[in-house]
Amino acid sequence: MTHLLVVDDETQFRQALIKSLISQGYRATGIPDPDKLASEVAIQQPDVILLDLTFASGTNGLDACKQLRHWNSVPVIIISVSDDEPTKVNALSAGADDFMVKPFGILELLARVHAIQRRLVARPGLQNPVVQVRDLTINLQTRRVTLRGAPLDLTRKEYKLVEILANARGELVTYQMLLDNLWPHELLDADKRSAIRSLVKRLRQKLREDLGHPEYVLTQPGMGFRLDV
Amino acid sequence: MLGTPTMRSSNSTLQALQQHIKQLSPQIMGQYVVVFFGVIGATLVLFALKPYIGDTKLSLIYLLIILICAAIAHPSVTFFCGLLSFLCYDFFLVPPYFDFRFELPSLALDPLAFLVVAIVTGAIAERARQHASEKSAYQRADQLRATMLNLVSHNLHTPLSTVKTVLTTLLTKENLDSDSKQLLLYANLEVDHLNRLVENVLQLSRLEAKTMRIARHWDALDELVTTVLARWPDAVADGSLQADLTGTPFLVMFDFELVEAVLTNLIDNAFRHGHPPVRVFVANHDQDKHEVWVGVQDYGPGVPAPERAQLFQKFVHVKARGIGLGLAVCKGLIEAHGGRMWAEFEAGSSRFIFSLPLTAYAESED
Repeated sequence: MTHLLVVDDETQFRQALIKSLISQGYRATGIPDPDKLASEVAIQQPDVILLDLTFASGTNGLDACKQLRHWNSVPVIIISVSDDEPTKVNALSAGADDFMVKPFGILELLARVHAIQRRLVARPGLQNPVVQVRDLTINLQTRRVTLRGAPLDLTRKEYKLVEILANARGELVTYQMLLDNLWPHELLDADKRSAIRSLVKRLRQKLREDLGHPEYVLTQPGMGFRLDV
Repeated sequence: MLGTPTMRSSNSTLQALQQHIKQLSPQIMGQYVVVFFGVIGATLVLFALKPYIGDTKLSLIYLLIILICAAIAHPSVTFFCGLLSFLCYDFFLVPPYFDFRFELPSLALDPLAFLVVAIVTGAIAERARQHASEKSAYQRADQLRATMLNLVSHNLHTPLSTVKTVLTTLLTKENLDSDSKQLLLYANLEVDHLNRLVENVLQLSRLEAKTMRIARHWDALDELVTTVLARWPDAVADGSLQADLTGTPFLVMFDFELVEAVLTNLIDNAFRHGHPPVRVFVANHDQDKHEVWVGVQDYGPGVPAPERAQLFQKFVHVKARGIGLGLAVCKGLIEAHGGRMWAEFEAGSSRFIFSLPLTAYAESED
């Protein structure tokens, strides 16, 4: 059972989130302050950490994340009320895996947790290499993408994007996952997010999508994209 | 009663002086004492040294004392310093000595300059001090505003987060009856709306404090519309929310998240105050002006003509649209991009349109 550790000093929020996660079939525990984060991680070995940034005690979530990264690679999702660009970029450069702005729905959170876990699991080669989405056929083995039987002429990056989406088999692909695969070793800032959107736009044009009502590549606002399989 | 009129008047002058002295703070009293002994001391030293250094530049020493006095002391102390310098210089250092008269009228120029310099520099220094204190008051107000913003942001977002988590969790339960589900859905929509209101207040404060950071990047405007539309999946599915993106330029310079907030506000408004279908359109027909238009059209009754002028003003209650905060924020954000925002009304339909400037795009390597 996936174990999520919630680090947030707002008691009501922490308890509500823990109860919600448990009701969704997860194991969830919480601590109010990151000063015990190291021992908690060492003893409990959670699968994903949900970490707030600001604490009334004055402790900084970013510092806790940086310290954790010296010895542990457990995925960290920052959950914060601030949504400004510098905070996001700082969080990711401190070693966080994803960033969620409060308030968020429980399903959005779980979609991200799944996405991070999928990223950690090696891609199974046994899966059917052909992904079919209505008129769109993606063959991951021959690297051929066809729309209504006609092959699509995709650039290297466009194909890579299709491949990542197809590998997720309809589950959320976050901006961070796209960045890691398309522009490895770069930080997810506003510039890179717009580059990802421009690439998605070009792919949609080649798929002849109606952007007002896309059929193949669906946008998950603020999170990323998924294939509508 | 007993005194002569002259004595009485000098008495009243004395009383006024006493009154003035009583009102003085101990700090200013101290300044008077220091200036008094400073000027007398300087005069004695200069008087003693006069045979050795000649009398040419002695007045400059007094000017220096007055300027220093103006820089650090109260203006009235500076004036006192000027007056005392005038008297001391005249009495001890200008012939005839030990007499307030001047041998030549031109010799009166130096001591008179002391008075003028004392008055002028005292006033200038006082104004500078006032300016500095105003500035620090402004800085304190700005700091207060930033603290308030932080407080509001954190203290409103945190309970909203709890409620949002709880509602979205309850909505995933499979054994809900349809009434409960509907009620939870309403509550969830209102939490989102409340969150948007909080965001609008924060954005407005940032706009007013001019601390808004606009991060413009080459970005896909149609991806923006798709992203915002994805917030209303049911409305898109049943056709009550549509988009016509045929006129979209390839890439436009804008801050994705800020314009996303603008378009979300406009569509939210259209659903709340207008009638579906709500239609989002991107138009590029204004080629000459180098801008692209994004509009949201609904088929509601619109806004009565007399209230239209106030539509984009903040905190103005327009009956048909509620308290104008969202639109004021939208307009502020678009203007910060160098764009414009306006509304067009026809019988049975309203259009809210914003423009973004188009600049030449240099294709990047990938």
